Amino acid sequence: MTITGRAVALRGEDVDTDRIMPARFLRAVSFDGLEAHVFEDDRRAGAAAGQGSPTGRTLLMSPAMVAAAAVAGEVTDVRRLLRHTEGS
Amino acid sequence: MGSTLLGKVWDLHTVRRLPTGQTQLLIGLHLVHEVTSPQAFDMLRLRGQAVAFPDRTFATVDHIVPTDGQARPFADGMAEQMMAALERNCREFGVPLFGLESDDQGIVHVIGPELGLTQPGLTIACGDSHTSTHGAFGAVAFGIGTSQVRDVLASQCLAMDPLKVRRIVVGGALEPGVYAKDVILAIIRTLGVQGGVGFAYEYAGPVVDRMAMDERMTLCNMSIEGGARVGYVNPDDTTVAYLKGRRFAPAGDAFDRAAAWWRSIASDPDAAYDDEVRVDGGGLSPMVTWGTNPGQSAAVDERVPGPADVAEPERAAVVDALAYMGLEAGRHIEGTRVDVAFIGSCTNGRLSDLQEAARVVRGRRIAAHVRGLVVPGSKRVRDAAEREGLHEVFKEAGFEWRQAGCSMCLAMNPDRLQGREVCASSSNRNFKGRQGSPTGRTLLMSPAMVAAAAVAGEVTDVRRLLRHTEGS
Repeated sequence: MTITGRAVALRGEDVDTDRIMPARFLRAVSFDGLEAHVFEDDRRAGAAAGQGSPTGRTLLMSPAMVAAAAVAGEVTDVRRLLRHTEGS
Repeated sequence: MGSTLLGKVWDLHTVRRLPTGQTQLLIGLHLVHEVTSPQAFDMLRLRGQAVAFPDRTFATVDHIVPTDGQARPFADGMAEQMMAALERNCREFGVPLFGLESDDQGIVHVIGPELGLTQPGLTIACGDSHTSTHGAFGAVAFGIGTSQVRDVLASQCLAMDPLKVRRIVVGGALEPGVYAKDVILAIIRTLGVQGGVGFAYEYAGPVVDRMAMDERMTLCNMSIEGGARVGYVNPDDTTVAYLKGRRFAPAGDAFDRAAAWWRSIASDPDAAYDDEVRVDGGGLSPMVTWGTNPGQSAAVDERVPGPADVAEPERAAVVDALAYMGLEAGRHIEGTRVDVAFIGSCTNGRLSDLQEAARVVRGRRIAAHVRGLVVPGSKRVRDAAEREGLHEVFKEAGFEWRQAGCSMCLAMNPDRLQGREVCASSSNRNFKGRQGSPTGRTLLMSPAMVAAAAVAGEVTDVRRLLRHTEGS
């Protein structure tokens, strides 16, 4: 039998079933939507691992958006700040 | 040359050898629950098929049920949908259901034995990894996936690869405070989480011979955590005595005939095994996992290992596990602070588990910062515990006394860890995120050790508390 498709390398060995599909996402009566949660925790951890904390969370955005988020203390639309800047 | 129990039961249930080399195996008992069955029933509907043997199929609800109030409809809409789907499927396909209104409801691996459905010499399948539990009775029992649930519903058969048999002989005698949970954690530590792949584990030796059925179930339950899909104990007087008078066990003369047959399917004294491993039961201490798989454990009086303590291929896994767990190599596992104490699950949610935990907490209080949950494995276990007053012992100590279900073993219901909480847990899997928080941390141990950790607020050696209890 030959299976053709995209292969994705996974970190680590003895990958357990709660890695593949965390049990809390197995609450369903059909197969629809399960794919959204495949390797959910690893994908989140993987996105964050580049910044050093195994549980840290990363929101990627433009430098201007980062500056806006820093000022507002939360994610905010930098265009609003820019409009305000231009107008002042 | 004689045969093993596995060989005898396998041969008796072989329908034919398939061209693939697999065996078409007849399944004597199919247990069904709400999580792995709805899609299987739907696939039957799409094909216009019936359940082939509804009288060999039994269902209950366990994974998603709330344990702090079971009024319908459930607050959680998805849980309610899953419950309703199981009810409808059982009604439409003629499958008996031990639902929430039934006195027989509970975790599927707790109620099968309680009802006498689980019997020696059967092949038993269920869409759940911990189906190996039923091997305690000398059944060949294993977990299957949802597409196989469909196959068993439609044909009562499965295509199975042959299994080798590893005999694990546990010699000596366990010290007080050391339990079946510690034996199986020690076995998995020694043989590894992959060590049992392709094998059935046959547990034998004086320690296993002396174990009650509850303890044998704990032992067989976690076979799968060691990679062995099947684990079993040969039927003996203890097995036969347990089954006598159970609702689905034969009665009268039929029971005596069945008992004689049950004994006959035990492995022959001259049976050949593919492998044999010996464990010194007398040398075992209470075990605690420090990592993120059930093989990463230490005796309570040992130190947490580091990358330097393991072979090169395992180093990265140890570093990763320690980082996730927030534990430091070289420090004693004893003294690790816990936030939550969970007593329950198909591994350790039976009456004797609650009795042992109650012995530890009787007359004591759990630490102020610890949230403690006791979740009986079935309604029958709950009722039996209440008749002994165990619920009062737990409540007076500060534990919550819950209703039967899988609860915090796997977080498919409202019982979940929050954030990075550390849970002393009598369950079976310490996988990352297993208990419902993606960063939650699980320390697997026996129910008595969980009780001791709850009282101390940190991992502690239950043997010390038990000595004090006996001495007082």
